[in-house]
Amino acid sequence: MKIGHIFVLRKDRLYAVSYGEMKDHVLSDLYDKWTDVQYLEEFFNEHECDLRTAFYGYIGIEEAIERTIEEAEQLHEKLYELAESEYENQLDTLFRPLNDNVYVLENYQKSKAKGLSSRKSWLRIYAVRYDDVYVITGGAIKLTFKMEGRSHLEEELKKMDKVRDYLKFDLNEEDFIYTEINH
Amino acid sequence: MTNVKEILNRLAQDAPNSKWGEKIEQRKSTGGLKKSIKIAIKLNRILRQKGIKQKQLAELLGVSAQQVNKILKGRENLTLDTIERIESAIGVDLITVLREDEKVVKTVSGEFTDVKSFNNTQVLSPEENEFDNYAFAYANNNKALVG
Repeated sequence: MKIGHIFVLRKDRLYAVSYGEMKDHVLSDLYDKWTDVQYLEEFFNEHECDLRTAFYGYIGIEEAIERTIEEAEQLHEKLYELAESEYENQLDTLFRPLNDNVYVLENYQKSKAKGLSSRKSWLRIYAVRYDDVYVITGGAIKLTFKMEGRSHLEEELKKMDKVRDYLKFDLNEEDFIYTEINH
Repeated sequence: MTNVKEILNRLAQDAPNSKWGEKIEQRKSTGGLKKSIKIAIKLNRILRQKGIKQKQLAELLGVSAQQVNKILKGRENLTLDTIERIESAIGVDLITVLREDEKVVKTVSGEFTDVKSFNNTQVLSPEENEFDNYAFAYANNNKALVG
């Protein structure tokens, strides 16, 4: 999966990527999917076994759809609000390191934002952090404890790696080429 | 390391316009979608059970397929008039207005429960609506009305 564009959502603070021929960035795509009754019905039908495990307690597909839409609206609104905030570093209150055992913020760190519900939320927005900047790489409905073993979650890990490598290595090269051409 | 922010900002100049913020603002300003979403969920289930395709529903309602798609995705703020038209088209009640002496019972197991047996049921408060003297509830297939 090739990175298409980098979108600036708030200068020097929040960015999002698109992949391939996507017309809008991943965050916009997530918002569409997470508020789409038909998409969610298909998703939860496909992952019904995960939905009915003890991890989230017994919950039916229809309730899961309602809950997802409600939490998706909250999460996106919060992200939008924090990105637009007049105060610095507000996004650090929403994002945390992907690894639950890591408590130190570092550059090129894989990060996640969880749904804001007081219940255990399965919504995740993934990003790579550099300084006080977050670059959104994707997101998922995470019904299992681990990301491994579920193709849609493993895909998100790959996307995070791709964007991290892009920021870490390719961006230097891009800058070098730009500098060579323009100076 | 070169300035990441500077390069990101430069690369972002080539990106098309995003509609993300616009979509959030638009949805925030649309009240009442929660009810429409519940109805959309139920409608999708009924159409599947009855084997009615989106295109057929559009023809029955005399609207475009795009309009029906919007309803089924839960993106249309449904009016009572639209709901009534859909109900007539598919022959199923999507919403029910309860009388004062009626209640909604949700079966915990997900299976139909006889109204005389409350062992595995919980009584839900009727959801309030804009009509003071009536309770407004969704007559889902797994819910039974009791007087």
